[in-house]
Amino acid sequence: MEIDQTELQKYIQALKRLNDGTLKREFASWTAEEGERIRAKVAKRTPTVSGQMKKSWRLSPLRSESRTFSVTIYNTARSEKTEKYPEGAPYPKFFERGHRIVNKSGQTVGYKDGYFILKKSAEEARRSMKRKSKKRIKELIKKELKH
Amino acid sequence: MKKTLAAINRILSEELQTTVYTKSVESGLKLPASFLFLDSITVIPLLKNKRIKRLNMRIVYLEENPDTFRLLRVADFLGDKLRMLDLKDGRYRRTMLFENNIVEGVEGKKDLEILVSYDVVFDEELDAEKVEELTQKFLLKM
Repeated sequence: MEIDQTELQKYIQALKRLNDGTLKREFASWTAEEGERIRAKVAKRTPTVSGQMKKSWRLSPLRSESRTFSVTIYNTARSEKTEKYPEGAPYPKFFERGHRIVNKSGQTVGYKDGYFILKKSAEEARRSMKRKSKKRIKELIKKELKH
Repeated sequence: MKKTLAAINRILSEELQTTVYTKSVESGLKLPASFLFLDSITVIPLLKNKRIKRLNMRIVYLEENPDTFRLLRVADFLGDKLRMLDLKDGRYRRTMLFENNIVEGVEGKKDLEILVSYDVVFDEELDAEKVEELTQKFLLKM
């Protein structure tokens, strides 16, 4: 019995060509693209009072560590300078995770639950990237097989 | 699910002796206080109508001027109680996740944040109303 391995060899060669650098380049561009998309989404979801927080969402440059690519989304908004916070309070952090409500004498009088905008968006991104990556990798392999 | 929440409520109010809240409080907060938030319910399909409902909860513990050592002791105490939750009807529920963080909040005051989740096997047809009731009662963030 003989088995024709031509197609299998073609597939292996296509995967090898992809592994040469194409896949890495694609992953880098997908990560940057997705990061920008999430940043825009997070900004859109941010409730506004003065609008400062909404326009202060930033995306870090793409970082690469062996086979991992990552970007960080962060907020640079700060409140007015006070004695306790000489550079302004990093209020987006309190807004995200929830915070105490204190009166003028510093006593805790309440608690406001967080909005978890970043957390929710990150979870959504994780799900969508997994789905999209599968589709994109299949497309890449198909394209490479045609060569 | 109600029993799980009631058991956590009991631990926080009777054993830890805090006032338990399930929603944000604008004023008149009594310290020490615990906030019990039901963050989300994840559904994992099982056979037929059966589903596993994973209750993802967040507990925030507040004191007027807590130090890290005191918060770690509270986290330890809650860890012991919540890892194997006594439902007081002869059943125990094991947590699927227990995570505690001490976070620096407003005015540099430290808060203890605990993430716990429990799995409950659930019949979609029989218990649908109960879940609806529960999601309305708690501030559900999905």
